[in-house]
Amino acid sequence: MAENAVIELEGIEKRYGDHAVLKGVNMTVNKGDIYGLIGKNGAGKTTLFKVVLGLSDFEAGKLSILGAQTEEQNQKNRQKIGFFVGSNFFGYLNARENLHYYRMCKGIKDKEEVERVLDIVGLSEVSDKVPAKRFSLGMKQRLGIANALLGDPDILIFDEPTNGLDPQGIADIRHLIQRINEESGKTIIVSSHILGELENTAHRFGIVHNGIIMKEMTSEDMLTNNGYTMLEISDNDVEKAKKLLTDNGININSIKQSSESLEDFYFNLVGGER
Amino acid sequence: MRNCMRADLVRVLKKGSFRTMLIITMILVAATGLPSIVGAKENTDTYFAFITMLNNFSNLFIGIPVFLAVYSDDFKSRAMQTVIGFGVSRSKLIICRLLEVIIIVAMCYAILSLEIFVLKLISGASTKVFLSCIKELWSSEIMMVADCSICMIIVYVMQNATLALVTYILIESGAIGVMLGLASMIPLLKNHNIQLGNFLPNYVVTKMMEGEAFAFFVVILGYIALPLYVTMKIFNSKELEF
Repeated sequence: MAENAVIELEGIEKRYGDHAVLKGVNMTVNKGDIYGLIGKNGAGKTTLFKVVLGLSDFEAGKLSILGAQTEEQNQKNRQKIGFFVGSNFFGYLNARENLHYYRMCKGIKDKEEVERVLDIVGLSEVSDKVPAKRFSLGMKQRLGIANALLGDPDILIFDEPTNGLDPQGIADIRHLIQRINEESGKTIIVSSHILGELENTAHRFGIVHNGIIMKEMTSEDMLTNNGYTMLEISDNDVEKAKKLLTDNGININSIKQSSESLEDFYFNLVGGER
Repeated sequence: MRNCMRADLVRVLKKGSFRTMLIITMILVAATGLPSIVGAKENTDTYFAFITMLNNFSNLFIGIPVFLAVYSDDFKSRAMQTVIGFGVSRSKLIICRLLEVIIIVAMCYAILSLEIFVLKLISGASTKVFLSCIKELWSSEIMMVADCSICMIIVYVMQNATLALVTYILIESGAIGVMLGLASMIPLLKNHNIQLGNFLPNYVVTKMMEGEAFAFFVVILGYIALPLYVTMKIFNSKELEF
């Protein structure tokens, strides 16, 4: 196992009948990383999470959580993982009651833990009269993240946490994930099928396609892909920018013009933090 | 395991619809029980009607909300998957849920027993009649737990709480008993005088309450321990859906 790795998968294989879902997945998540798992729907992201969380068996390969050598040790170490893989709440209970339920299940004695996590995700002001079934999608996602944070776990797993959210909701969750990582140094694995969503959030990326991790790379690798640096220059005068760079001895490999992204356009129009 | 059970018991008791059904059952028991046992010194026809009502309706009116609260909500909310993801073993979770059923049903029946005691005081029924009612009531509890235990196999193996609930209702309402009675008319079974209905918990529990020791072991081992073991064996290798 790599020195800094907290989760390591080697040659993990998983089949549903004749259909191979994971075909020898190798993946390493290092301590303190935000690891972005990218892949289209059906690529195997959720199955990968289910294997890590012990909700699904695998036919071949090796899984190690926090250095565990056996499945028994993995099972014990799963207590140090917080996860959000979709809404997992009792609709008739409010946010606090739901979190107290999971707090008790985890054996956390301190009742203030619920207030701590509600505060982190910005739900501490929500009225106790509102049951979880009346929450907006964004609030449900936040509650899910709060649940994952209960007990201060070392590793957090978020499966498509921005699914179905509006642009502002997506940006809020993105900031929340970054803030949790920066403030507590927690290792976070987050999946998405929207590439742009993880681009500015994750430190490392794993690209899943047809049941295998095709490539693992860091954000620096992306920036200096193939040995050159990509610069983004916001100016309408391309020729002027080109001259400025060449006059200063910078080799230009290619110039690609692009207009404002739809997301940029949206935030410029309605305001809000990206 | 104790943490999970405590958390779940608190959750179930907070569920509004569960409390409402318990209150409705209590009102039904009071409404039918009072006129049935007024001044009864010995068992009378009206008393027997009351006992039948207790057996049939309380098992449905309490059993269904308990089944919904413990098993259906657990699946619907995906709390089960979440708790397993926390590192709780599947076997422990299954045992935990069955123990919850036993505890919650016992709590409900303790409340109903208290209510019947109050009815006895109001109606002037004899202690003999009162004790007979209590015995019937608690034999229903054992039947209910046995029925839940059998349906638990469907809950976990098929991961379908609705189908399990329908099966539970069919058993409790006597529909499966009727079906097994009809099946017993098949010549092969009829010739050997095999009554399939006698394999149902309500028949065996009745025998147990009559003091047959063999029936006691059938109830404990056949209807509670065996389904628990089968469920754990199969569920441990099951894929869990999010």
